[in-house]
Amino acid sequence: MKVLLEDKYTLTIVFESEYAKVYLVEGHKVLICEALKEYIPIENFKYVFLSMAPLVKEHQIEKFIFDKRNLRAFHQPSMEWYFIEWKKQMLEIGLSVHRKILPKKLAWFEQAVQAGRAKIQNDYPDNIIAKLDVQYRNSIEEAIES
Amino acid sequence: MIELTDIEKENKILKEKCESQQMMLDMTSAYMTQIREELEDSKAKLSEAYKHMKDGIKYAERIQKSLLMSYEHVNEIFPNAFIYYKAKDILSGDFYWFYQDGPIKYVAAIDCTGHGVPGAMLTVLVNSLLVQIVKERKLRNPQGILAELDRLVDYHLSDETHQVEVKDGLDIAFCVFDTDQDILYFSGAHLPVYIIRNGELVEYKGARYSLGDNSERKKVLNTQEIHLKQGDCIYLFSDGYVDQFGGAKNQKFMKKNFRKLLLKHHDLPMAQQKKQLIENITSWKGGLKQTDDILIIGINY
Repeated sequence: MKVLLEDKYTLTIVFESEYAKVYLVEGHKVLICEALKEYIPIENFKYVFLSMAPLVKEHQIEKFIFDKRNLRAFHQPSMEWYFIEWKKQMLEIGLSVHRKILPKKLAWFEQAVQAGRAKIQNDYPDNIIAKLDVQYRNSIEEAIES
Repeated sequence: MIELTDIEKENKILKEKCESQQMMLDMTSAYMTQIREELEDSKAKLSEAYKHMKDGIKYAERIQKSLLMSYEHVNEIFPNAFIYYKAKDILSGDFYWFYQDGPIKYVAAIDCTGHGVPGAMLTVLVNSLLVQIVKERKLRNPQGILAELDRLVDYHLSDETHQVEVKDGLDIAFCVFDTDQDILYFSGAHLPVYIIRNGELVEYKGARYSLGDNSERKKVLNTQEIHLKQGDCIYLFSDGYVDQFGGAKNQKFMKKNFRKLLLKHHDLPMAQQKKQLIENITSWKGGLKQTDDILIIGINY
């Protein structure tokens, strides 16, 4: 199934579950993961991300966009796995650019994300974050373009 | 049975979500506490650094003041005189210089580039050079004194062996009074001297460049010879007073208003003149900050 974004980008749904939809941006080496619910349990979270790994390799994805706007809670151990395990594996197959979209106007959520990142930095000082280009954006379009 | 499994599954997810939210709350709370502690620590360090720096500047102020002649000593040279000297910050880029050698009296108003610490450092150098040129080498002609000052400031600040060239300098109004002959010899760089006689103000302009770059422009330096009469009022000043922003339209005070002010009050005793100048600029400035260092020297001959 294809979705047209702002008449500029064609998104193809390449994976779908109860908790997330994954899109491939046609003509670009960009993969988008959209969280569909307020919360993704760790088993489902890992399932979604492990399902994306072959897609990253197959399509030689250079940029990954994680759209968290529907989330209202995150599971810190899931995030630690995502940062420490999944991103490391993705870096090994060439994915180093990550764009994130947080829920709008939820200062407490942003603070929790900051706190979570600081905890990971503190608990895993040998992480690969410094080798990645991780930035926050406000929309999918913005994330694709920058 | 299937429904029960679904409910159990829902409960498990809900429980994990609640635990996650509690974990987020605890983690954020701990993070904010840590940030607050770090901020408090930084604030304390900043406060200590500020105190250390301020103590250093206050001590530098004492050194700078020790280089200036006391008002009492100035009044021994010129019994009817005032000095209005107000730094923008603690340290000043402006300074005054007096010296007497028998019937010859020297007065200078000096405005070094900038204000605060850099300006003050330059005042120390210029003060030392004036002592060297006038007291030790006994140069008498103001034009020659300024030309030599120009050369030496340039030499000290732009020496080829220095890693960094400093493009700084000074403006100066330099007067030599020959009290036997009642003649004032004036030479200036950017700064003028005003003389009020019989209710009329005459401006003697300085050369239109600052000292310190030792360029060919020093050829425009000259000495103007002014015959004095008893009761003449002579004013030397930096640009701090006339450049002060304020008034209803937040403008500079301007030279024309300064001249009017001096003409209005020149008949008053010198201490009263100073008081009027201070009251005027305080009122003009209102709630605004002082724009630059201020220096005005008034002498009733």
